[in-house]
Amino acid sequence: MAVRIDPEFRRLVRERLRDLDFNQCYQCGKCAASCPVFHRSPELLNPRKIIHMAAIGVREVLTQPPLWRCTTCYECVEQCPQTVNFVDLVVALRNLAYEMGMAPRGVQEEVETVLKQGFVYPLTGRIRQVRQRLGLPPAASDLEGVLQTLREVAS
Amino acid sequence: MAQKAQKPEKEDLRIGVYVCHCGLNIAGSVDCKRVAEYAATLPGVVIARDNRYTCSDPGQELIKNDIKEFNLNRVVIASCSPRLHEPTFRKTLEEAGLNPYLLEMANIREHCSWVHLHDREGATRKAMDLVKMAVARARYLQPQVEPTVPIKQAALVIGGGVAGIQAALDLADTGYQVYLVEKEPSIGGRMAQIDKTFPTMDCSICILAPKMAEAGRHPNITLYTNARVKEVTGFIGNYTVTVHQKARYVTAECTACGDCAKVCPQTAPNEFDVGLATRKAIYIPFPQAVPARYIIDPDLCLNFIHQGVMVCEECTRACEKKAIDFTDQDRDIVLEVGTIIVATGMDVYNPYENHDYGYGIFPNVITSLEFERLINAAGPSGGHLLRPSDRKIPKTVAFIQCVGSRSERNGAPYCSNVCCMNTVKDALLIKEHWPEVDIYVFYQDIRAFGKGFEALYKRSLEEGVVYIRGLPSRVEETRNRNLVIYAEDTLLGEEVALEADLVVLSVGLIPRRDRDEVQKLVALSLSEDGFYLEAHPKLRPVDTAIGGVFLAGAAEGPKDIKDSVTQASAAAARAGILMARGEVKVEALTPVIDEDLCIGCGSCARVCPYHALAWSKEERGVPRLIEASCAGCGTCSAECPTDAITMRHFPDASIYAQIQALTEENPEEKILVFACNWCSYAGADLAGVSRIQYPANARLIRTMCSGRIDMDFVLYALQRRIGMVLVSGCHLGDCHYINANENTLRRVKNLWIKLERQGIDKNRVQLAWFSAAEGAQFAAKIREMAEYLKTLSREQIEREAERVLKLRRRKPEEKLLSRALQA
Repeated sequence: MAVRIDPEFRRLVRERLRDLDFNQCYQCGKCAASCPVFHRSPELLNPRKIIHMAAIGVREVLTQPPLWRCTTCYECVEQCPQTVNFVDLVVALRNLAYEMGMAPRGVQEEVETVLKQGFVYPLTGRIRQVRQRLGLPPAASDLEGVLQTLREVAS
Repeated sequence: MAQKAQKPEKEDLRIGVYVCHCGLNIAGSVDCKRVAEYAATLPGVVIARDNRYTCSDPGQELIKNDIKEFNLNRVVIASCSPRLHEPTFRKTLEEAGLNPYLLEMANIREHCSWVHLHDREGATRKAMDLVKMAVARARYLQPQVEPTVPIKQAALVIGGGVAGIQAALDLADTGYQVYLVEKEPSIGGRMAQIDKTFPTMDCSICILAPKMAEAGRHPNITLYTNARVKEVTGFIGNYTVTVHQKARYVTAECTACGDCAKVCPQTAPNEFDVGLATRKAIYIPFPQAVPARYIIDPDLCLNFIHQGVMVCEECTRACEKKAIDFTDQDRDIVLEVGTIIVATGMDVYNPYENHDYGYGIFPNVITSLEFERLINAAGPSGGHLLRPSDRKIPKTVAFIQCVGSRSERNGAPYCSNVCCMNTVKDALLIKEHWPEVDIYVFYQDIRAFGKGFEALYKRSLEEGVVYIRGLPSRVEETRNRNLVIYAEDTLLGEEVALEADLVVLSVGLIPRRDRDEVQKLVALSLSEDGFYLEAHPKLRPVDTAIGGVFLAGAAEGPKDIKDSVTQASAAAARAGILMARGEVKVEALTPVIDEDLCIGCGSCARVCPYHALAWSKEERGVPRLIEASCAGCGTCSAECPTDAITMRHFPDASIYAQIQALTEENPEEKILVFACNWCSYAGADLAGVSRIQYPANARLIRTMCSGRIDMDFVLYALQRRIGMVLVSGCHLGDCHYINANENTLRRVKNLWIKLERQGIDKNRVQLAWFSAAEGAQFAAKIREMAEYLKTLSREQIEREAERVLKLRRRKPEEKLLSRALQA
């Protein structure tokens, strides 16, 4: 089945990522060659393909598991001859995927957990015990404060 | 002049042989030292040396010193092709006080070391043979005086596109009279049709129109539009050109007001707008046309359709200036020029024939040339990019690259050079006017190699043009006449599909469909891709093999405007250099007729392509040679039944001597190849330059034309037990001596019949045509013949050698003897 090139989606991506000129990519593959995840296995993540899919307008880029495998190590950004910032692109695409409900379930649950508890991980009884032993306040005593901080960081 | 053949003087032959290593180009596969040592043993050789670079200053100094020290009177240089360095070494001889025609070259590079890279023994033996043949020939070389001919101070430029205009202006500004011939009603060519130029995005007609106008009014330029060159005769510096100009039916009184076209009832597709708009029967191709004069299309005008019966006088009535003249006639103009610049340009690949990507079936699939007219403000849509089906501005435009280029199937296998940048430019033009349009380019490589090209490509990326690597396999039309393009995105490894409103096919450039017309006028060669061939791809890029004829623009190969203009100025300079000198020496190649041997049969006069032998049927006397008309092909000499005609620099004796030398050792294993200087010898050179390998048993003998090859040469070789003989020349119709090679064809066919009658295997004598661009074909032929040779037994060759005797008029030894006795 042919992958549909979607000018609408492309326009959306470009609007969202206005400061990110990933269209300058020449598809040389230096990002992939420098990527530790790619080095482990090309199937796990190929930054070049993600840039290309975003650049030509392939909606499936948002549902691809590789999008979530970037470690944001910035090695590709260091190496790119056309100064494409892949890490920023990946983060922006992840946000877009989440907004459109296309992020993997695990990611969506994580976000919900943070919003509910102020933590990435669910507060188990074991964690509560450890916190008590260390003399820390019980978690999420100030959920509003945590979310406020998060919003500040995000903006 | 004396009508006596020059008899070889009885002189002490003192030959010097120089075997060049050419660095490792020759020495890499030929043992040059051994060749030189062998040469020293040959009769008449007083000194034989091998050196690293014979063409270098020290190399030439060495020869000059030797000429003085050893009192040499013949020089044999075994090195590269004489087509490359013969002029160099002739000069060396001249500087040492020796006549330049006493030089002979053995081509042991292009014809030996480069084509037998992995057969050192075979290559060395071949080099030894080639040197032996050269030494044998050198014995018969005579000093010659090159005739000097004056050069006419005028130039013909064929083609009024940007290259022709530039060449004409440069020559006219230098002070020469220029005749600019254009087949269309206006000069301007392709560039006038284009909207903008890359990489600067200049308006094409805005920068061209001033040049057109300048060419139109320059006092030194005579413009012939609506005209074609019909005939060219003559030679370097002295060409007589007949131009056929079609009637225009509108006089110079025309002010181009256009009142006539308003009332004309007849319409037809406008060629200038590639058929996207219409014109009248009386029309001007485009507003900036030069000359700014209307023209009547006789195929469309009612008065011509009704064969001269005046049925419509609308234009005549409308024209205040009374500029319409239905009595106008076609005319022939005869011009005398010294130089010719061929600037006939190219054609555009037409995807209609193969319906590439549905072109011609789906209305919204157009070509890049049609796009130029659509985006042009003066074009049929007033510069609005309207798609043909519904005249709406498209939202998504897809360009498909390499349509008719880089394809072995449709169009041409080469890269058309301009389409990548043209598409980048077109995409930016769309973005400039309608930034919201999405643009996709399907490509296999984006070639942005020129000055400013990469920057323009980058700019298109910044503007959001999308490039998808992969050529589509198919285009489908949707119900609303949109197009779905399917391709593999080779960077993703996935099949992709894109729905677009308009598809632009980036069509390639091809040789002009009527290129044969001009090619035959001056016997230009064609390169493999079908464009006109330059004399040397690096060092003589605008010269042709024909003296005084130069190339400019896309006639020589696909080219953008800048390269066309650069080449045009170069061609103008080359032509100017020749004319400024005022006179030129031509090679001393003409024949001498021996009155004692001539029987006055007139065979020579009948075959001479130039009518250079004056002979009358009534008198049946000795023909008189018209020296200035003779081009030196030697067809007359081969035809002469009594061998009364001696070619000055290619006498029979020298060729018999070459055959004799090459058949002294193991002739059964060898293939003798006769090659003409212009095509087949050059083709063999190209096989060398391209390092195309073939068996080392072929030996070439060069003549100016295949028409020079007397069939007795072939018989003599067979009598001497040669394995195989190949007679080769230019393709029929491409002969550099008009049609002299048709004689070759006739003679070989006759020879085959004679051989068969005697029970001699006629396959041992083969005939093949090679252009200068067909190195691979030359090598393939030699391989094929070498295979056939393996099937021949020594007994058969021996047996057939006996039979050949019956076919020969006289043995050359006898002939030479009788000559000597006469002397």
